[in-house]
Amino acid sequence: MNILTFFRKSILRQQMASYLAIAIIPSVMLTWIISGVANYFIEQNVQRNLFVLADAKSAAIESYANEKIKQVNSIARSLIFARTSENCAKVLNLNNGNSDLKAYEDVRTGVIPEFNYMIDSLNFKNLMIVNHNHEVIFNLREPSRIGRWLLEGPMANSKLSKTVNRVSTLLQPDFSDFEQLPDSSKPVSFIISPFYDKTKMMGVMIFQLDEQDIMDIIADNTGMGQTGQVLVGTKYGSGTKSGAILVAPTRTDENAAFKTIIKPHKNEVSAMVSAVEGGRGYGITHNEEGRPIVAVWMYIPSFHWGLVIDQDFSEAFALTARIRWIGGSLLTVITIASILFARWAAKGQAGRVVAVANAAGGLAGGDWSSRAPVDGVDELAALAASFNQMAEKLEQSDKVQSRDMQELALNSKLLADASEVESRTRVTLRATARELSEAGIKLVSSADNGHQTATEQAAAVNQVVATVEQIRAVAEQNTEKASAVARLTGDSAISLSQGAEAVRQIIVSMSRLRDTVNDYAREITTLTEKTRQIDQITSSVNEIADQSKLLALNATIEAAKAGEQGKGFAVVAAEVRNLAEQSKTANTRIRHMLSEIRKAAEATVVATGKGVSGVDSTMELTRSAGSVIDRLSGSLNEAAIAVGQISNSTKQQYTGIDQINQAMREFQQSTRQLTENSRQSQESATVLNNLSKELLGLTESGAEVL
Amino acid sequence: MTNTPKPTQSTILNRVMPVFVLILLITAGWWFRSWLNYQKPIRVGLLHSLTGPMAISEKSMVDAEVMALEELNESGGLLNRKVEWVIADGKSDWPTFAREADRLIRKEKVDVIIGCWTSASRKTVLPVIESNNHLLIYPMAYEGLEASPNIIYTGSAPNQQIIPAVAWAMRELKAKKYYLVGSDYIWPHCVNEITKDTIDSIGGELAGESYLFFGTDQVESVVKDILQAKPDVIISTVVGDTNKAFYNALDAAGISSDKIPVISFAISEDELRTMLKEVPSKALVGHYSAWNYFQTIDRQENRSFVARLQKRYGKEKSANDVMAASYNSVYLWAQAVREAETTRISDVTHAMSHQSLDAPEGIVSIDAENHHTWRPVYIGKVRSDAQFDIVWSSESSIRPEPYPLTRSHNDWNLLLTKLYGEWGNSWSNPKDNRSISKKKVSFPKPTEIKTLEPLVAPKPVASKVEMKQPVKPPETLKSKDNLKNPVNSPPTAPPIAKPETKPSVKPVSILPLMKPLLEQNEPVQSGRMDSKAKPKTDFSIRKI
Repeated sequence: MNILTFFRKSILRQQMASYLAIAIIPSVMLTWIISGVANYFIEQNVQRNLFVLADAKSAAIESYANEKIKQVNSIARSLIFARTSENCAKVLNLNNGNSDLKAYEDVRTGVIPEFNYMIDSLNFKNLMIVNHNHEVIFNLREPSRIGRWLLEGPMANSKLSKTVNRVSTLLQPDFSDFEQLPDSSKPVSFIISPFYDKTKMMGVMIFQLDEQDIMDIIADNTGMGQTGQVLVGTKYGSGTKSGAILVAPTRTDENAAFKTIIKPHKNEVSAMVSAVEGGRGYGITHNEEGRPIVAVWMYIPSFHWGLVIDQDFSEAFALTARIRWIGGSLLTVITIASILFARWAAKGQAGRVVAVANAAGGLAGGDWSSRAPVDGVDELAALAASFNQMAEKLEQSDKVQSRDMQELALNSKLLADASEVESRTRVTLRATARELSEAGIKLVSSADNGHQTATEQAAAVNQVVATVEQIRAVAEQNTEKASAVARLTGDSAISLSQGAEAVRQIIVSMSRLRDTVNDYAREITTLTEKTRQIDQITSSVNEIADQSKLLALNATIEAAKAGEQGKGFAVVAAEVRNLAEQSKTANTRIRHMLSEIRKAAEATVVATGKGVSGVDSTMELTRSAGSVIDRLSGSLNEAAIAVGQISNSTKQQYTGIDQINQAMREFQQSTRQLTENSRQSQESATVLNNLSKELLGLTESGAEVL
Repeated sequence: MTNTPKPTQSTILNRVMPVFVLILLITAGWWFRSWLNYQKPIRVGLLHSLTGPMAISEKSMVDAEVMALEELNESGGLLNRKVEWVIADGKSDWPTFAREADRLIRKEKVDVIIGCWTSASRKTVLPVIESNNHLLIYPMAYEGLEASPNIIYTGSAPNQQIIPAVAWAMRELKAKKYYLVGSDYIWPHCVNEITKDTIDSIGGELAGESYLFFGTDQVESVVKDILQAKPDVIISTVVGDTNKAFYNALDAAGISSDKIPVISFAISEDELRTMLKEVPSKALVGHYSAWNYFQTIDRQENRSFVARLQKRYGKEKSANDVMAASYNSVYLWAQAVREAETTRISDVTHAMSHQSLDAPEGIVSIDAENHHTWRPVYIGKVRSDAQFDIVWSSESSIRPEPYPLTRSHNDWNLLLTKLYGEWGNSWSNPKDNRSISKKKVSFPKPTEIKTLEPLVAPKPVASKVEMKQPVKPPETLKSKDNLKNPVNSPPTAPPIAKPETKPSVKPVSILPLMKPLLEQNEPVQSGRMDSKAKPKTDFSIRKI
């Protein structure tokens, strides 16, 4: 998959690849197809051409043969042969050598001119006449070469001899194959025909062909280019190893005739061997020297020859080579041009894309200043321009963001400080709340005490009242029991002293109560002071919360501005805001509570004040009661004296007791009031305690939050 | 956490698309190429007698041709096309042959016809072939005297069988007196004329000439004649079943093969096998046959041919000359088609003229001039196993000469015309009387005188005989009936002076008399081939 990744990595490569594919693949295919078609036609042409040449050559040779046969046929019944044969037979005695040489010479002289004329005009080289016994009885141009040399000697197995035999049976003209006779420099061939005396066959005549005629036909190389040549060969050897031997000189080798032997090739077809075995075909093969040739071969029946016309492969298919070369070079040029163009085009497009990609990469890597070059006015340029804008905006927002970040950091620091302050405040608040709570508790206990005291007082008062009632009753009874006054005076004095004791107690408890209530009032004042402090603090906390809220808002805005990066921050800011909100809410509640507390405290103070005043008044009353009692006791003493004055004074007593009663009633009422007030105080104190507990709880929880 | 789009389906398709398109292109190209390559099969017509008396002999030709065609198909067909063959039955009846040839050409649209055995069938089919400008390949040895541009003769011409045999008999058998016996139809008559010419030229002597009707077994009178004439060799052109009677009769008469050998031009390995069932082997062994092919030829090509033949048809099958010629015909024609790269008749015919082949018997090649085939000549001696020992071989292929040089073309044509006319416009003797027709011994006269003979008498015949045209007027062949009722049938020839009796005619200047004949080239080949005009055609010629 290496090549795939190689391409996938670069758009430039992909584009170049697709351009090249579009340009080169069709060119290659077209070149391949066209060169294939051209090669096919060239080969057809070469084949046809060679066949035409070969057929023409074969036709020329055959027509030469036919012509010779016709010539021979036309003279076969000419009487001169029959006569000459007869005459020679008469004078020749080949068996015992007693030939009449002179007569023979005469016979010869008689016919030589005619024969010469005949064979010259027929373009033969020699004439021999052979009788039925295959003895040569006449030889035109080699007079001594007569006799039985066709039957004995080196020529006995010659092709000439065999053909003479054959013709004697076939009774028709035939050629003897070209052969190298012992005394001839060139291969010779003959045409042999029976000759007749009217219808009777007299013997066989042998004409020697002018082999130059055929060699001229063979050697004619027109239309064969530089390397084309005609090879003519005949069968050589026998059996499975039979090959061929050339019978004519070739273009390149003058002496090839009957020297060059062609054996069958092992791996490929041998044109000449196929031809001499009757084949007819076309092929691309190698010649004897191993060069590739294109050859056409066929069989020439007249001479039992194989004819091969071959041409160097490179020459025959020169056009192919040229086409291939042209095609190849054209293809190379196209390829190079395509590559260059592809590169140029691809660079133009992909380059710009790559530039934008690189710029984006730089941007992604954090380099806010990376920009893409803007080339041209097409979509890619627009892309680059848009990218640059985006980068610009990003850079700016980055700057803004960093600034905001700094601000945020600052604000965070402030927030942190404020938070610290708040926390400290909270701690103080807590402490204060705790103190408050303690105070509240104290207050409660004081109030309780007060209430208790008040209750006691009330009880005492009630007791006093009861006592006074008793007293009244007693006093009442005084009138009736004036008599008993004396006795009673003593009782009264006791009672009065009791009363004075009680009054003293009352005064003591009253003063205690007053102290308490004063304490109480003091506490309340302290509380109020404290609540005021708290109020201040809460207001500052509120401020802080407000500020925090603002900061948080700012932060949120900055975060919003910062977008992705500010998200975390926004969350933090939100939380801070939440916190501020909660602070504020708590503060509000605290304030509310504080105001309640304050109200309660005030009320308490008022009540206490009232109570104090009540107490004071009570005390005053008590004092006055005490003083009264004192006076009474004094008076009583006087009474003892003045029992007598009792009746008068009883009334006065009664009135006084009534006054006391009334005063006691008032005192009771005021004590009730006081109790009520102390109860209220208690309630207030309880409320205050609760509130302070709440506050404490709140501050503590708030502290936790902080 | 930004939104990167996944690669959608379309981009995957983009990657697959080029590969798919490439595969599509390759498949389309391959299909287109094979569509281009598909072509109709090439059709070959095989026209032989599958029924009737000739069927036994002609079946071998069909066998050889079919084997060759099958081999063609096995090796990939011809021009990348399959080869089909249509076998038409001539029913041993010449008009049927012509009709079947017409059907093969027109309906079956064959590209070539290989067929015929008897000369009668060939001469009947010839006008059909020539009028359609078609191509017939005739693989049977025959009497020659014909050279149609639309026929390729892959059998032997007379100079490739008859003449060498006669000359050989003189040289090797030292025969001086020859007795000629044959069946009574065109081929033996022509062969005997050629033989007589040859005997004359080699200084032999004609001892007698007899003719036997086809299928007859009344051979005793001939044998008696032979005994009387005391020839040195018998030249036999007897065909068919008569041979059995003939050889039996010879044997019965004590004429053994070492006494008077018979050289037959009609007996090949096939006939030997059939005859050895009814004729004692001693009656056959030692006689001779002359052919261009024997199964015993010692050549690699022949051995492989025989092996293939026996593989295809069984060990009992023997090869003979006509089978070899039929086999060669198919291959030569296939070579021509390959070379011409078309099955167009004219191109193929032209290409056939150059073809040569390393055939089982030797290198055969077709002579461009006369459309006959160069073939080697063998003379074989009968062996007891129905094979021949080869006693003489020409060792190389012989130029074919359909018109023996002993007479001129015109003389030969006149001979044919004469015979045709004598037999009432038929190619075989119409006489039904089963008796031998014995001709008196006669020698052919020198050309000049001989020419005049028929001229004087059968003038009406000569003028009525239609001359050979390259294209026959179509209306004469469209209707089958025309073959039976010829439009223009030459009248029955008036009794001609028998050639044996030599009328003493004074030499007349040849030229004016020859003129009409010269204007009509080779009248024989286009004559009305009506063998139905005479009764009982079936008993006339079957084998030529």
